[in-house]
Amino acid sequence: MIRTFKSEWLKLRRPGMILGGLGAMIGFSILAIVLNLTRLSNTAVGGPGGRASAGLTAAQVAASTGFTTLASISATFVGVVALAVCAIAVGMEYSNGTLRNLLVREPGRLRLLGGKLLALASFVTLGVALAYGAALVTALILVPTHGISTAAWFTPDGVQALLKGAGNLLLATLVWGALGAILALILRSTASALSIGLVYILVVEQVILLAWSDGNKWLPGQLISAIAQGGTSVIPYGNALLLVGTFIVAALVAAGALFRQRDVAA
Amino acid sequence: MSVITQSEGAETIIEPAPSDLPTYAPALQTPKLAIHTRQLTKTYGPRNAVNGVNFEVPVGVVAGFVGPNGAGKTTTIRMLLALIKPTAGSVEVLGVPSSDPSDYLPRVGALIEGPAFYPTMSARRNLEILAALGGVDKRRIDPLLVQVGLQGRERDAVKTYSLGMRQRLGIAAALLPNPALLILDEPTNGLDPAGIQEIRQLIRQLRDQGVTILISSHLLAEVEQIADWIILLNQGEVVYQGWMDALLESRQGALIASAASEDELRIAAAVASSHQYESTLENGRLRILAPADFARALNKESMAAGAVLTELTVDRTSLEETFFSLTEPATGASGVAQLNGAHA
Repeated sequence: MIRTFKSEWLKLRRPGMILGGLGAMIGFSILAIVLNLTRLSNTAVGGPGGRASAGLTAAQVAASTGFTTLASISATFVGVVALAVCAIAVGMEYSNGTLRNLLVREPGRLRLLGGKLLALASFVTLGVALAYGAALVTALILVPTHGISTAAWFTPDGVQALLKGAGNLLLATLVWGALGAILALILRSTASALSIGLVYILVVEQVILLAWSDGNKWLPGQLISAIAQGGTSVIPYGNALLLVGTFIVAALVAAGALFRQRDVAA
Repeated sequence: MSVITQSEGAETIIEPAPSDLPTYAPALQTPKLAIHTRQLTKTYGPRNAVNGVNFEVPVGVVAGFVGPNGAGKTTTIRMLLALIKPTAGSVEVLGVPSSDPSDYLPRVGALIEGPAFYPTMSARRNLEILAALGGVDKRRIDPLLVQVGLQGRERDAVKTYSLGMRQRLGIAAALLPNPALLILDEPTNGLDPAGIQEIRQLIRQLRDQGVTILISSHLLAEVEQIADWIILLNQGEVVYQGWMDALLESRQGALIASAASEDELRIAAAVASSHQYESTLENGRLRILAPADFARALNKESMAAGAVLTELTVDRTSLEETFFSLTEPATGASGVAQLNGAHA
């Protein structure tokens, strides 16, 4: 599995993945901070209780949890990038026909899959770390320009919130990445995995929510979003973790069994 | 007729061949088999892609795996490499069942159905990925790139390569693990004549170093030049396996005679007829269906009868003709047309 891990990193190191994957994660995180602060400056500066259109206030930003609140809207964007990166990394083995080469050199299919997923998880972790760091630096530069202090972010409570926020973002992003890899593995195609994954998140789940109001307690996209936010008033953090964990383990077991048994004709 | 089978400890014994499988193999001297399949079958729905195939490849030979497109060659190769699971039957590669591919694939190199690489990465990076995955020393990469003639272009993206260059890279990738068994599926596809000659030389060199090589191809003339052992596959079934020379020698060749006049050729035809050999006049030359050792008697007796033969050559049966003669009853016109079409 270590050999597969090293081999996969040789592919992940290519400029397309670095610029397209890590660059997009960092870019979306910075953009989320900038957009949130722009909306805050237009509508909320000027006193306690002033509200931005998204409901974000200056007081909330100044609180010890201010950075995680400010950065939380980037979770879905970063997650979508992770989904795309993992779908591309798995799907390209089918579209390029390279899976057969890999399986001749590493016939242990579960070892191959495990090493690949571990490498992708480490890539996503690196991406989240860089994106979170870039977002924090951006916020530290821009927030004071709006007359808001960031001192509370570095109190013991603030540091704890920062770390918790990073952990939750990482967990949520890893789940998005796992979904991308699983879809590409099942569909044996990057394009199908991306289109089905994105259409589900952006359209299907929203339509289901319109028809089924309790769906936000059960649907994967809602649950992952709840993890990224550290739980919501509708979905407690523990419930979200348990349900998403169950979904992902079941999906990984099914995908692994399929990968182990399925003929490689590509 | 005889057929080689494997018994305990990968020893070989000679057994009577099944009556429906023509074999011309003499007793094998080699003690081991590199590949051995028994009743290997792969079914896709109602279609048998491979139908109860039994074949063997002795260690240290260049084996040609020949058949028209759709004969089941690539499906069989994928089963050898544990990429697809047989519906029935079994495979042993280097003495190990295909159910334990981790025990034999590290000693196998393969180029399967055309070269497949990451197009935006360089040749070197593609080989580094495979080397890292297989636990192969990266220092093998440079000599291999030189060996296949890609030095100087190894840092260019594979997407900028011609088909021939990608084919060479595919062969380098197959050689990466320093294999005991090399499986090459259509290795000369896309190569120019000089490239084909280089690959032929490389294959002979590897054979001389003791590497067993299985070459799948529909280019019969190419296989005829290079293979020691031959397996003919048609419509998912083996129609012949054995030594190439034995196969070609077993098929009746022809003598081609020329003379100054047609009358002299008629005299030669009468001489051939007196020995029970048929002959036909084609384009001012006489074609006699007779073995090469009849040439001396034909020349002598024709001379005695007053005919001077100005040219007498042996027309050896080609692998292509042999293949058609073995498969035509089963194939019919469409199968022949397909092979010719692929050849054209």
